[in-house]
Amino acid sequence: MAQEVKTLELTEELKNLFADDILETEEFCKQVTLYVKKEGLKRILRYLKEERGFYHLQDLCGVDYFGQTPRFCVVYHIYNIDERIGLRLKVFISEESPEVDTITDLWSGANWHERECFDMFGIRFKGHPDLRRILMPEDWDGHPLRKDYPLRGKEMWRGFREILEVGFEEDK
Amino acid sequence: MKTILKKILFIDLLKGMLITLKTIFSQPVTIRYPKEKRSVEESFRGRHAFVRDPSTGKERCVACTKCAQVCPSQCIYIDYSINDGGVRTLIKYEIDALRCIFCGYCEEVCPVNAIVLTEFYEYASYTRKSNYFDRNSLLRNWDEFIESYGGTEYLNKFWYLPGIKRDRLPVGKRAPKGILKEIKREEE
Amino acid sequence: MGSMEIEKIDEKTFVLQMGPHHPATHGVLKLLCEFEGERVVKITPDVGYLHRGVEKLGEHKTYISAMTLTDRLDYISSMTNNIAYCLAVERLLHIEPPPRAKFIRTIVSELTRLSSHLLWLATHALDIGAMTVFLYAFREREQILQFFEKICGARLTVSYPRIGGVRLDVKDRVLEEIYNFMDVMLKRVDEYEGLLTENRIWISRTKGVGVISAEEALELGLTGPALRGSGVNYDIRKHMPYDAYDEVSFEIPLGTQGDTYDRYLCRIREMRQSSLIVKQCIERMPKGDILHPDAPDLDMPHQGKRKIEAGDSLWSGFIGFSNKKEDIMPKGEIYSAIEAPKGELGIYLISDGSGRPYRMRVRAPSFVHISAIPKMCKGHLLADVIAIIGTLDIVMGEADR
Repeated sequence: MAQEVKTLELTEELKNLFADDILETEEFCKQVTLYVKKEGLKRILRYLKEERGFYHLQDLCGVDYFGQTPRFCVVYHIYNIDERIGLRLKVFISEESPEVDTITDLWSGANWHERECFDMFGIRFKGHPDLRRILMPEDWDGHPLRKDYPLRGKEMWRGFREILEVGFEEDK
Repeated sequence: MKTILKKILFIDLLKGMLITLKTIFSQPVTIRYPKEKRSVEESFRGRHAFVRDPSTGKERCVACTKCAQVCPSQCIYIDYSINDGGVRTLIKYEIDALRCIFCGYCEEVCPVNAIVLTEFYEYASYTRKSNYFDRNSLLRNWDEFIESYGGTEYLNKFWYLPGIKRDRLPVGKRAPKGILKEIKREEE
Repeated sequence: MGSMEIEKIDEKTFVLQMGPHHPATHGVLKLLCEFEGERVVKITPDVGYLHRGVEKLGEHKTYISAMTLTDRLDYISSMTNNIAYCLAVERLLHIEPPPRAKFIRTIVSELTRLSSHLLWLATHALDIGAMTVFLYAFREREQILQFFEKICGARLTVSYPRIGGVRLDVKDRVLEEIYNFMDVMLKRVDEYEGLLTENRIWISRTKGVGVISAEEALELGLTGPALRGSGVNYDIRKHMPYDAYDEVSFEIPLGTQGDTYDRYLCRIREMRQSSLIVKQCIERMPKGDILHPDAPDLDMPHQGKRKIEAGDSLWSGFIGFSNKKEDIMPKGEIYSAIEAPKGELGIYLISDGSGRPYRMRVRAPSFVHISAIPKMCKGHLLADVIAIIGTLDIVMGEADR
């Protein structure tokens, strides 16, 4: 109970401090979500980390809302260990210019999370030291977790075709 | 002083060697497979089989296709036909055991307890075809299993799901009877 | 096959690839190491050799079938992965498992933690050179896997927890055997400590290796025993208790220096605490149901009404696609985390009302820990690199998903 009260107080304070950066807030299942504009994201995160004690970045991921106009969304989960408060920040990005600021200078652990986001969705992070594919092979075409990418892939990967052409010698 | 003495006399290493010395004189826990085999527990998820109903002598499947719908890896292929009265008859039932992940969802959802994952696990082979079971080979799997079964009555835990409230389950799963092993064969 | 871009290779350094096929990298992990003499200058890890597309597959299966995907993330501790997923869906549905199911889940979680830490101890000690501990730890792990077989029929990839409870009930006879085994386990942990903790070879191989301070660990995103070895008191079982963890009493071991030896001590003491938790749970086990009445059935529909009124005929529970007025699941999103043996395992679910998840994201601790290897290995020898990989407790199944 005390945790929820603290979270709601914090949300009110943030809304007053960053009035033009925060678009709206939402609460579902005792978890608070803040919808933030692209330009104010880093300011809010820096304030929360350095002055409010949110030292732990739990997660950084991307979502594809296929069919809606800001198509992509990057979701940040941060946590305050001493006061046991968690927050979620969401930034909407359009499909034409899928770019957002990087936060590797605040949390160095975000480096690989952002690389995976780029690999799976195609969202670029400005200022990232080393933005390249991490899970898929380096020469892969396309971004797999987008909703218009088929489940079985567009075509067989060149490496598999080589294996199948050599063939198996059983069941003859 | 004590720590210097401990260091010179290698007390820490000797302590470790004492533990290993004790293990030399204890009973080893390894068993020599395939000469000795460990018995598996009940309702272990092994090879698939179609239960042969003792009263009719054929399989119990009614082609409701629930198992094919719930299978996470979609390894069950079913073909059935419906006559005028609305009764379904099974035409084709195939399980690709090499795709199966042995989760046990099919035997848990089947309302008539037609399919079961038996406790038999030694069916590795050199060809892929022998692990692609169709209707007749599933019945054969059951016959082989029930012949080598140790007890007299076979009742799998996933047929009656202990602990779940009875009115959540379909009728065939509330209090099913176990399959009795036929004693006549042993007298012959 | 695609070339790896190394930014600048100095002529003074020697590049060694500890390739994907290597017995000491705990799975398929490629490490490109640059050495100057025998000291590490730079390490670039490369993951993705075990990528199976779990997050994409999860969007095409129902909530219940997607639980079999989470089994195979961290394949050594599959019960805790299932519980993490079930907790996320239960919080979305606003249901809680009944008390008996909570206690069973806690017992099974702690047994999984024991099994995972035993495997960690075995492989870590084997990499450093202590081969006896490997066989001793596997003797205990075999016993724990036999308990899993008695409970649900499978040893490694169980799908035992169910959304809203557990799948089958546990007999009292099995609980008694587990209780007696916990006493044996406590004696065995003393044996492992007697072999390693005061051993001068072990101390010289692990003290001062891979030192990381508390601030750096938090910046890198480490969680679990890797963070507690540096002194930060962050354990989700105490911060956001789930299942029956707020009804049992246990301690959280913390380290001071942040080196490999402290992380080793943390995990050994956690093994003891796990045994005590299991004993307390078995003593206080209540009687009752094991599944919440509103829990979704195994054959839940993809779309359509959730409750189907068909009496107790053969076809009760059959899928109706026509009526879409009532949502199957509430719309919304949730992030829920548990204390897996490796660290903080988080599941982020977005639901759009239908029977399939819209987005299933898995925050895997091993993925974050591998990104910490370059920083921790700077200036160490090649043999210390192996010790550092072992102390971070990496499983490629969850790092690559």
